[in-house]
Amino acid sequence: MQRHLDQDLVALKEKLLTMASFAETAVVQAMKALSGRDAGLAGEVVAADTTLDRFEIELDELCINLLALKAPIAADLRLITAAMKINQNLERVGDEAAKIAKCARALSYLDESAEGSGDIPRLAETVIVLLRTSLDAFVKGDTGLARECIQKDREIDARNKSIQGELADVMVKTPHRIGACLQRMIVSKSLERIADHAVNVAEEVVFLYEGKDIRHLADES
Amino acid sequence: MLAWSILLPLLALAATAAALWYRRRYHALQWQAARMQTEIRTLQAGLQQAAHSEEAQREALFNSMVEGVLLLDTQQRVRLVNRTLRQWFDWSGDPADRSLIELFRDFRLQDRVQAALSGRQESGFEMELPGKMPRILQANVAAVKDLSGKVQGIIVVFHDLSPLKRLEVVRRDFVANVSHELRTPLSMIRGAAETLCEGAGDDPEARRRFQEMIRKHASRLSLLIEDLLVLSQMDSGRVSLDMQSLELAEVVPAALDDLQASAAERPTAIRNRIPCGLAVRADRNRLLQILYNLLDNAVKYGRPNGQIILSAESGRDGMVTVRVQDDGPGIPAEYLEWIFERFFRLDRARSRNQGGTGLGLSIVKHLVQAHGGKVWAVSPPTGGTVFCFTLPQAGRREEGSDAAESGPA
Repeated sequence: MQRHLDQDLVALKEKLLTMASFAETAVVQAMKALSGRDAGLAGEVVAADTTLDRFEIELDELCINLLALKAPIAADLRLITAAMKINQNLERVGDEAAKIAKCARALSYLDESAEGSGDIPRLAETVIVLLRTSLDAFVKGDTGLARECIQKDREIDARNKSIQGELADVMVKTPHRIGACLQRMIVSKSLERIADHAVNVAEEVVFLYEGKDIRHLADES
Repeated sequence: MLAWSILLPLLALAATAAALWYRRRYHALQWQAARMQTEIRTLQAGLQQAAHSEEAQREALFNSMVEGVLLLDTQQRVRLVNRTLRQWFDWSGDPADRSLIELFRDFRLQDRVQAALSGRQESGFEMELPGKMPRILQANVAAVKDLSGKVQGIIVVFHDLSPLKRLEVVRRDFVANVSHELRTPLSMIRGAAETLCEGAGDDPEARRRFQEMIRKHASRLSLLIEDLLVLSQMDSGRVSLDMQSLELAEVVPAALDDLQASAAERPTAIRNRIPCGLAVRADRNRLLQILYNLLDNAVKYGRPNGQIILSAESGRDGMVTVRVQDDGPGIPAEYLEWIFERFFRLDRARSRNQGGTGLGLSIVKHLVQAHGGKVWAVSPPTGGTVFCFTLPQAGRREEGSDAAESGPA
């Protein structure tokens, strides 16, 4: 019985990692579409979101079946519940990537320079590294790495805030650029949301390997 | 009774003889067995050694490959990974027995492995490897089959495309730069010529101005083409150096003569502090070109009414270091490693106004390297820039320095 459960858990982890690979790729491609003004690539990212939706449903089913049929306990139970939450977060990462891709598509049709968004590519770089690191922490079972990810959240929030402020200034000064600025505001906000999901994944990693719930601790202190 | 008395000794004799025969036979057999055992042991050791050396050979071959190689079983679990791949991917712990998706987290690689397992062959694909040293890898997936055609495992070979991609960027930038640099003077010349044709030539003052413009840009164009030719000669290794022992203090005045006019125009004072008796092994004309390019830069970018100090000293390593120091605004530290790149300019507009081609320092770097020396620049925060280059000292390691005569490094 336990051997079967072990095999099922390995399969669950691998499916979750395949989904993570899709989510990670979606964000990278969405940013490429934005910087390269590539409407075709943006369309592909939007279309790929359905794959992530399908993964979410399949993984949820898998987890519920394991809970119902195998009655897991302790670390096994934690892995299944953590997988369910990571699954949900990854699906939302996909949604945000699709949102960025839609903005990239809209911006690619606007004939204008990239003025007033200089920080977005750098923010994206940090966010992609954060997402990647939180998933590395999950694969390696490295809670130290996971805690490092959680620390980064505030910095990303601050950078998003400053980008929003900068874009608002541009809108006030050049009203004809409001359309483009609004799209860029959505991109920046989506990146910040992706970072939030990555932090959620990191928190689940700490829960999974240490059995400690550290959510919202930073907010209280 | 008599019969017994005869028979008994005979029987005893026969028994003794038989015992003796058996004993001898036993010893012979024992000796034979021992010999065979030794032979078997030798053979076994030989076989083991052969197997070991074959395995060692296989492992050495596998690990010395510049490509990354991965062997998977039919369950997509890692069986073997070579050293190159381990170096590229930062895996904690042993990758053996771990799953493909856990190690690479790339669904496209997983899809291709799945396809190969079900007998389909798909073309290679490029994957980006993030990290401190980002790489672009091309992964090719192939199935390993037994004699009956059944898939036994999967082999994935990763080629590092990053150097190629980098070269592609350099080539693209170079072509773009050359076209831009050629087009600018050419369009100036065409513009001036057209204006002259359209009647501006009637006014003597305007005619003189446009003619001067044509002359200036035509000479820039020819300078640029000359520099490009020198660089291309050096790239293809066609530059031969006539290495000889040269007294620095005797060569330098020739370079200074050529610069007198432009130094007087700025005006800039060039202080020659090269000590007498310091000899280098170099090609005279190439050394003059190195000195001219560096001093010309110092005159152009130094402070008006400033001074340039030219000095040299011999080092313990058998090399002579020559320094050209100006008192200009200096070069920001982050650009110091870029200034020897082709067409790199700190201030494009200013450099063109000064008539630079953007290739001077790149030529200096190639020439110095061809002599077996190196070139670098330092720019202290207090201002000014010091360009330094080294050349082999003559008379110290004559036999060693002859090797540098064959061509560029």
